[in-house]
Parts: sequence; structure tokens; C-alpha cells
Amino acid sequence: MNYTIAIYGAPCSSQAPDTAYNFVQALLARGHGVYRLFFYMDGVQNASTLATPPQDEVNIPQRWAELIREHQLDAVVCVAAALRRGLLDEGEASRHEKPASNVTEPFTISGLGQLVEAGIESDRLITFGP
Amino acid sequence: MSTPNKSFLLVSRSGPYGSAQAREALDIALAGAAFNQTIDILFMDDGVLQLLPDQDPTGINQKNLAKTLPMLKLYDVANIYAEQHSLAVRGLLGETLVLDCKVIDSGAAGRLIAAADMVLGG
Amino acid sequence: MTLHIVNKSPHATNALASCLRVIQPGESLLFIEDGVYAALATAEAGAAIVAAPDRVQFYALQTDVAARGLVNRLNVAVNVIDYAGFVELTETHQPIQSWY
Repeated sequence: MNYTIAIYGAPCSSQAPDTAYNFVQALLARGHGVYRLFFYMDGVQNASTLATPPQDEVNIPQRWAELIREHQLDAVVCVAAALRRGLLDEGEASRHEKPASNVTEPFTISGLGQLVEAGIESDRLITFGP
Repeated sequence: MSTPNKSFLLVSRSGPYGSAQAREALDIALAGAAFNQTIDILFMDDGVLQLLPDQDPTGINQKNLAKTLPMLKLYDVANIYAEQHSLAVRGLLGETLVLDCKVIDSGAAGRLIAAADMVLGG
Repeated sequence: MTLHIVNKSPHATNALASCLRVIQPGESLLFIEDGVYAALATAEAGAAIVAAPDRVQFYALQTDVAARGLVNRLNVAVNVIDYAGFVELTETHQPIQSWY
């Protein structure tokens, strides 16, 4: 089956990113497909390349990026939620004349419609709330 | 563009203003319109407090959610529901709300969820 | 048939209470994260589970149970499952409603 995973919780303030990560791994291990990972609300923080936890703690954005690359998953960060919270890729940073960006591939910044479209195209939609 | 043939339900359970959750949930319903995808909404728990008239968030520097909610009627949001129990415990049963809702009991809310193909939280 | 997922302690929010108000006979409820505190073998938590409609199945995610020191403190009506079991529940249920 094809799954869409919506992640609404941020690292540090919520366990949701870890639960969602483990769930995605288990899904793939059982032979399912991931149509899209969609990061929304505080979940956009999962995409920050600037997260720098201590070495003995898990770097959640980095771990997502590795999983996304390994399995070539589609990982979308909602643009409106991201901009509000200071998560910008290079394009958004230059458009809004900001001095830095902190979202890069394999994450893509796109609209909230991508969540709806993924729901239409998937067999299952599961939300990991904050 | 894909052909929508699924039923979507958004369950909105947060009050307005205390966090961005209520507004960002509403944005999901509005985004459905871009894909011609009807998204029904069920307000329950503190979510029903979004429906109160007389909201004036100017003093807390936020946009008035009660002004955005009626936009749902302009878009293709087919059905708007509110759970009776949630309204009753907040003293809102029979009140005039900013949106016309179908008031349903808890069992009907559970059946509504079960009948949806996709449920979105908010 | 809906799969309900609760990730909050019943002592902290009304997520579980709301879920139990709408859950239908034969549906399933999975406790994850702080939701697993609802699976404690206490009179209060047990009463909520006993009061649920017929044939509701209760599950709790093993890693969250173990993390919180609840392995020997769970209500016997709750089935402990791993992530593969979690995925299995999502295969056999639709939709999936998360209460948070």
C-alpha cells in the first residue's frame, strides 16, 4: 500500500518526529510505499539543517534526510508554516531578502495542497500530532 | 490533476489564538479547494470555540479567525459539523455561531469519522 | 473501521475522553507516546477501558511502554505491539484518526 505521513510535531517539543520515523521504517520493512512525507505546523522544524543537538543525542533532521535519500522519498515542507517559523530554502531566503537559509534537498518546500493531493493519491493517511 | 473520489474529514479540536493549530487546520480545508477536493469539517472539543461570535483578537495581535471561517462557505467545503457534547459542556448549545453547523451527537461523530476515507487532524 | 491513535496522557488532556466518546463497536485504539499511561492497570484507567463499547480492541506501543517503565503495570486488556504490529493495524483499518 501507499502511505502519506503527516508530521505536525517538532523535535524537542514533541515525540512525534521519532514515532513517525520509526513508523516509516517499519512501513518500508513490510514492503509498503511512502507516497509523501508532509511536514506541517511545528513539524516543519524537522527540516532544519541548522539543528545542532549534542553528539550523544539524535539529530532528527539529519536522520530524516538520510532516510529520505536512501529510499528516495518525497518529503515536502509546507511553505506557509515554514516561512512563519523561519524555515527557508535558498529561493525563499533570496525572495524575502533574508541573510541565511536552512532547508535544502532532500526536503522540498511547497504548498499545503501537496498534503491534500497526497491524501487523494494514497491508500492511507496517518497524522503524527504534536 | 488527479480525480478526487475520496471523502476527507478534518477534525478540528483546538480553540483559536492559544496556538496556531486552529488556523493552520482551517488552512488545510481551504487548500482542498485547489484540488477540487471536498473536505468536510467536524468541530469538537475546544474546536467549537472557534465558532463563537464577538471574537476580537486585535488586542492580542492576531487575525480574526471568525472572519475567515465563513470563507469555507465560498469554497467547496460540503458539510460542517459540530459535536453536541462539546457545545453543551461549553454552554454553546443553541447559540448563534459564526457558521451554520450540523450539530451531531458523539455516536454520529464516530460514524462520520468511520465513513471518511481520509481523516486529517488539526 | 477506524483506527484511533491517542498520544496524550489521560491526566493531561481530553484526547482519550473524546476518543472514547466517539469510538464505535469493533474499532481499535492504539496508545502511543504519553498515551500509554492510559493503559496502566489502575482502577481509573481500567474503568475507561471497561466502559468502552463492545469489541473495541486496545493496543499499546511496546517501545513507549518500556521507555516509561510500564512493562509490568499494564491492564491485561491492552495488547502490547511493536512497530510492525502498528503498521499491521494501519493495513487493516481505515481511516486513521489521531487524537493529540
